[in-house]
Amino acid sequence: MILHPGIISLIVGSLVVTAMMVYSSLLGLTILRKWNINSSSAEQLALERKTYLISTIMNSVLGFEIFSSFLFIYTVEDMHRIFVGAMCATGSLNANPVGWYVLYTKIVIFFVASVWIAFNYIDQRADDYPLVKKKYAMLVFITPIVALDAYLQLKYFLGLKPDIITSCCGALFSESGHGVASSLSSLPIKPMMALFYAAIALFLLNTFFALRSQRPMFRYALPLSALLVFTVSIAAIISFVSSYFYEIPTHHCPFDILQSNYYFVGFPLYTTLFCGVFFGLMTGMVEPFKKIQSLRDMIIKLQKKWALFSIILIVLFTLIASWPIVFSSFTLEGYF
Amino acid sequence: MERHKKILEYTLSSLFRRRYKNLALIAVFGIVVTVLSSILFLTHSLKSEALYVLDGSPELIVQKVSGGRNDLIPLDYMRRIQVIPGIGHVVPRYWGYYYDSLTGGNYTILGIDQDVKELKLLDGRVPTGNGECALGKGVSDARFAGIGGELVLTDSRGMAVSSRVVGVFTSESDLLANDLILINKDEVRSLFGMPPDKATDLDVGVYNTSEVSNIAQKIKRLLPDTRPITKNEIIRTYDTVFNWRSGMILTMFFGAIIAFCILAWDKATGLSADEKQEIGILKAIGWETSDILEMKFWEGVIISLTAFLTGIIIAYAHVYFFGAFLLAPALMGWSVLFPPFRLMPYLDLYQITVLLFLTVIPYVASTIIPAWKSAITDPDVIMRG
Amino acid sequence: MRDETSKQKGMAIHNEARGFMDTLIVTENVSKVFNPGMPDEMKAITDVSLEINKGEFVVLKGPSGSGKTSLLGLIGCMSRPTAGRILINGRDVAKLPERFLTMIRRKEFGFIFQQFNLIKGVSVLENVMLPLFPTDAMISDIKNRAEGILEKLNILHKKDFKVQRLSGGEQQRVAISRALINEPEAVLADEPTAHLDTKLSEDLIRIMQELNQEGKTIIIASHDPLVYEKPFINKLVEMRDGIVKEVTAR
Repeated sequence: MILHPGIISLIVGSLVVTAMMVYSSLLGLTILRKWNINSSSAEQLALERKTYLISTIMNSVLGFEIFSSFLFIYTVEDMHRIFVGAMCATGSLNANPVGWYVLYTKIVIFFVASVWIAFNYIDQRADDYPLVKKKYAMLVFITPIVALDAYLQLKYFLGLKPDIITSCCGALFSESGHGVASSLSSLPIKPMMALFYAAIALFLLNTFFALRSQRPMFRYALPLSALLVFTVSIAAIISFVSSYFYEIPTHHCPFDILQSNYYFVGFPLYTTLFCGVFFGLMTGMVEPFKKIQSLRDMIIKLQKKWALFSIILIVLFTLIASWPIVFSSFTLEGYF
Repeated sequence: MERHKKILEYTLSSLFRRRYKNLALIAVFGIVVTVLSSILFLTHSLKSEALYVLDGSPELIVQKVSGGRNDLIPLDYMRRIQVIPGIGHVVPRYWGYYYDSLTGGNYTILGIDQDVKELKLLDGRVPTGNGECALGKGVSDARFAGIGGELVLTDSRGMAVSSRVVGVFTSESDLLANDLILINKDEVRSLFGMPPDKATDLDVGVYNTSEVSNIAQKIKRLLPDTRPITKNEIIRTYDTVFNWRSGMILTMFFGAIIAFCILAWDKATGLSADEKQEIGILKAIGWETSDILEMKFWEGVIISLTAFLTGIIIAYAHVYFFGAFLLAPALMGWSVLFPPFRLMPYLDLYQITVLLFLTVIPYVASTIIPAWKSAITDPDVIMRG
Repeated sequence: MRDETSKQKGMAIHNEARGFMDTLIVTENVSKVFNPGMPDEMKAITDVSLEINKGEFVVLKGPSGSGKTSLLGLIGCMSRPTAGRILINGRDVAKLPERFLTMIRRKEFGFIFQQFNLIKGVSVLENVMLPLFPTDAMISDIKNRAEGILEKLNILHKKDFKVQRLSGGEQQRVAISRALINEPEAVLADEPTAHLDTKLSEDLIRIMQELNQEGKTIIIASHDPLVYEKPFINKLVEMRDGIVKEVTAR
């Protein structure tokens, strides 16, 4: 295995986090079994105190996962010289395709852990802990995903051999290649742009009505349009947004915009996208909880706040993504 | 937001009240960070320098191999390589290693001709004819030969050869130039006693860099007793070695990291009676468990970040101003007699992120459970006690 | 039993006559057991039912171990009972999670501890401001309020002193100021005169009386005759061995 400081940190870190998640799940199971809000016994009090521990651990897990996602991308980028044919992070990931699944898993963990933390936040603000059972049951489902991430990451790093010949983003995202990535890159630009802006507009409209209207259907639709806008945006970034930042029509790599030579523009781009989608998702996901009396008023207020955040963030995202398209002299239109 | 500000303020004043204990903790943490970051800085610098140097090296180098060892390559081979499609230039290189019994160091002697591409880091000028040389800073210092001075070497027949120093590489120059002696091509041949129809190796340029591997294979097929080495291969080797070396040392250092986490845990668990009482009072006057947890979080962050920054600054000074005197032998594997050189400071976000991962995060993680234990103190505890 | 009922009835008529309409605190069959099921199990309070109205001056009287401190803690939302209900302004707080209990405590109660329990190394002003730190109030607002209270209690001039440098009487006034920072409905004090001489004790009781006259409910747990023999006490609750023996209303 390649003994690289970044790799060591990532592997050890993921093992520690998995251990923390298993511990939390076990605690969560105890709570699930013995929880009784109407009891004043010492056990119940002890259980309530344990909920604070689990909250703290989950917050740390989320923070860690976000951090380690960036570290993963940077490590993979740093390693690319070891592989023949690799010119950036994409090349390193191609050297052992498991790497892509690690990335997908990390994205899933981000959303799932954030949703859990949001549920926890709501639950703690009601005086009867109405979501306790659902919450800790959910924890039991999150743990395998975290463990999967650790496993896949280990498998990825163990399976890397320096003498693998790999292809870089030029080949992966090229028009002549096979697979999803190259299909995305070779899509004609105008329709792709149209699709992107249409998806954004649809999402913003949905969120706006979710904010204003009394009818719950807009809010129920929100998680769907959030996921749609997420998928389309990532596709758009690969397809044309990144090329506009690089000002090279064949450069479609979604990772290089996180580097210093592009002024780290990837950070605000991805942050606004992920957070905007998250808030949209949450606004819709808490709608069914309005049936619970102790949560109702709080949820109505939170939904308004979250929907607003979501709108602002997605608008920002669109502005950042559109900036080079509007303002730079480079254009992709002649190429496709 | 106000709430967080106020809790942070209280945490700061609380840490300050116990400053000696906290300073000790910061010192220990800081030392761990210093050592770790010294390792990472040094290897990263060496790696970056090596890569920077290699960037300017030939796409393809062809050497002759005889009995598994390097041999001089017949100039005749040039003609045969030149006809392969895709090949640009084929230029013979004359160079070798020179062992200086006076200083115990190994120098690299490189023969150049008139049209040398870039020597921007040279004070003075490039040697133009016989009897002139340009020296790396290390050689110049070791032999006390500056510009205008004289360098005396012993050739293959045991005769002294003298040349005037016309240029010295600047101290900011890279690793490779430090031990370098540039002299005229013909002088290299006579110094090492090389026959006129041979060269050390061949510098081969290709038109399309992505075809390098193919061309290397063709050369190997054509001339089976040669070894073509591509630039990429060298880069990968360096990269791997440096990664391996730093990874190895980090692994050895793991024991220290674990010991440190245990220390952090112990310190966090073993609250003094004073601290316990303070938390009890805070709980009694209206602070919640989550407020105390937040306070403990800020404590952990403040201590670890302070130690982290201090550690990094010291490590930076250690590596870049003091030449990493504590670590160099282990990492670079050279003899201590070798002339020292100055490393170029390379600092990037990636390194810092890895360091954060290895230090601050384990610290905060190992204090979670002790912090929670202290935060769940019952508000009525101080009434009972 | 009948005496109890008639006493309570008498109390109710009395209160009506006084014009007290609001019940602040009601405890119904409240019990508190420490370390249940373990060898060091201790029954602090058993089956206590009590009513405290707004504006009353209440003293819980009894020797140490009588349960008055525990009762005070339960009333002041510092701990949860093992059994029974506690109603604060009509709301049952017995089963509330810690967060909500703290919110109610912050709104309604100010506490003065037996040992004062001021934080050493911290100034007078900051000690008084501390209870409101975990709120979203602006620090300047809290500061103004704190200084106002300190001035009323004649200790503003020492606001930047570290508390350990103050005399007993001065510390007492700081402790009282801290209990008032959140503008509570009721001020609770646990054996406040235990470590004070007669003069300081009288000072403290006088301050409590003034606060009561301003409308604050005062509840003091004490076995000091200087406290429980005062004529202006509205309600004297005698406790022994964790049970209420007698409630005298005036």
